Amino acid sequence: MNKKWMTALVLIFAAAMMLAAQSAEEIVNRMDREQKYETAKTSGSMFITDRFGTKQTDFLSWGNKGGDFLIEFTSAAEEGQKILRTGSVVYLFFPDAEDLMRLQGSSLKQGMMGSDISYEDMTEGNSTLDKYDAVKLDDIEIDGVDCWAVELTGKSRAVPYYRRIVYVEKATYLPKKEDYFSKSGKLLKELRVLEVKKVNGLWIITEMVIEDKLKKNSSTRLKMNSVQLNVPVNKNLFSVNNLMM
Amino acid sequence: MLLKWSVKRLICYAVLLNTKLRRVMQRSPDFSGKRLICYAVLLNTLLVPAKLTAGSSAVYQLDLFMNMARLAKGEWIFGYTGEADMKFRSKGERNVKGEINLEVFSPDLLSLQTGTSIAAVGLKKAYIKANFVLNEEKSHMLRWTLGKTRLSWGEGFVFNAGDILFGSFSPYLDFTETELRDETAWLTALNFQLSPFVFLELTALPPEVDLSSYFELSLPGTGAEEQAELLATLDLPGIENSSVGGRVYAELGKDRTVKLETGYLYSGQSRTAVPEVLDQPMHRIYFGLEGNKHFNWQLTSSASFPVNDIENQWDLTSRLWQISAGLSHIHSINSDSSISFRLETLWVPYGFWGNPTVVERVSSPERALGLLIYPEFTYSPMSSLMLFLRSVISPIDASAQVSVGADWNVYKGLNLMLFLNFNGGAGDRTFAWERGDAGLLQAGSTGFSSLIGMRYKF
Repeated sequence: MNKKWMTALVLIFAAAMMLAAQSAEEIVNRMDREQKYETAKTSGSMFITDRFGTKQTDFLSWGNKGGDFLIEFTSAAEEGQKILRTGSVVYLFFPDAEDLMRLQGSSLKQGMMGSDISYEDMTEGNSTLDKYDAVKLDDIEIDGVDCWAVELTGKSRAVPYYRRIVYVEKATYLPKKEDYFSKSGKLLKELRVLEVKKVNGLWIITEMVIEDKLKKNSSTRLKMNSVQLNVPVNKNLFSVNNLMM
Repeated sequence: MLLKWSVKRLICYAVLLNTKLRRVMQRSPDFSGKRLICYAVLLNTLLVPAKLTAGSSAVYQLDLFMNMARLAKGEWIFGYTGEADMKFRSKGERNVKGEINLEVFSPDLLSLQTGTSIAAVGLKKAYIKANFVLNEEKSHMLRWTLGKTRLSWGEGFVFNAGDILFGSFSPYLDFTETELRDETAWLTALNFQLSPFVFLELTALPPEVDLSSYFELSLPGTGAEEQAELLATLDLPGIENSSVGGRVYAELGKDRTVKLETGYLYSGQSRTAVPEVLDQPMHRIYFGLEGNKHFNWQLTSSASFPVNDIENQWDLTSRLWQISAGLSHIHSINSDSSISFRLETLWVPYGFWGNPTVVERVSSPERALGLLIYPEFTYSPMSSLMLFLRSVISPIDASAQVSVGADWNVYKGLNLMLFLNFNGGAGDRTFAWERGDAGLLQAGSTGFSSLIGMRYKF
């Protein structure tokens, strides 16, 4: 009996050690995998806060694992405006003028609808290690949650943020917090995950806030009101024709 | 009739029908089969009306400005300008979209004092778009657009040689408008998607009818005889005054970095105010490229030539050749602020390249000035505030319109706006300091005007 208990304890301890001994690359790859879905359909709201108050923008969005992403704004001030990302091109559709604008290059650094989320943030693909080198830092507890800390450094100048520190929740492999730094080491933005939910057996982020650390009282909060994963999404949704509907 | 049913009326009819059905069932020895069919009919009656109507949304926009303007000879006036915009759009069905857009103007706002407010209502848009899948695997789709709306052909925020449908070459712009080029027309268009980023679009536009005589018909006191006389004089355009054409849109390269667009239009009627020599059927073609290499760039060329053989055809054709080109760039200062610039030009190679005399202008009314330039600088110290400098420059006759302003999105849907507009140039130039059309307070029509106001979208 004692021998069996000892064996079980050793196995549990070994498993725990293996878990703790995951490399930075393994953590980042698993984090990317957890956020990859065949398709996703969401409805949500973006709350943009500055010194004058908070403005709410509602939207519907669709995405697929190929990185295509369509967002349509449904609140009055922006109604009918759409943003489509495919590859490295972002399209903006303005329904009043029935006009289509293509964004490439430096235009992608602009904040989307005046938020702290840039078009470049949208175009970043999910393969983090293609663009960043990863180094594991000391584990940390954030808001009572056990997290790994991984420092990501850009491999080239093509990345939107030269250095990032991502705090990955051990239980879900989702980011709990992310800090974004410039090359000079200045903290530019901070992302905090406020809520996660399980949908179709997968953990997903349903509420997060991004704060601009260079400005006082400037933040963007994203809240997903409904999320559907791995549901049929017509590939023709991500086309110029559909954008101009 | 089904469409007019309210929910309450629907439920009442359903209950009544159900009661009547029960009485019928009780008379018949075989209940189950008949009852099933009748309930199916009842259920279908309940369901059918719901499928005939889609959801909708209404968005309203109010633009209201106080305007102080300097007319010719140093006279100053003060007044109000503004308009209301109402958009009713369908929602819920992704393959069909309908929209009705009304614009409302009140003559009171134009400094004419009347006892009561009289509103003028314009129909800006009224259309239906429907998408049909031809081959889902190959991404072949067909979109049919029917009604009054806009097709944006070509590329260019202000000057666009590819806009052969509506014409984007007038230098007179109202910078208070949300969209500088937003003309609409009754049209039908078929858009064939050949792949997600390649499509062919065909369109047909009926001729516009001069409605001024119709207004006389509607005046009180116009008798039947007068009406008959007016109707007999109405000059209705023939089918040859319709416009028909098409364009091809294709994004090229592995990363789709370059966009190519080319099109043709048989234009049976000009949709802008033009000299008489240009008010005839024309063939119009354009070719344009757009891409990005450090800057966003675009280049478009268009040509027009008369359908009918006329004297001096080559002279006319060459003078209608236009080239528009543009560069734009946005530079992020930090995560919240940015500075951007845009530069667009309109070239008319066979236009006037020296300040034309009055005789030259009268003898060649179709000939435009050879060059117009539109520079724009915008500084956003924060995402909700925009400071801008815009100008239309006519270097040939040394005149320009300059507009500086600010647009501040304070609360959701509310923008505070300020515009200061200056016109510089001698009296007979494209823009002139000593010019003022009394009663018209549109930006740019006077030597100087200042507008301060609000835009609220709800």
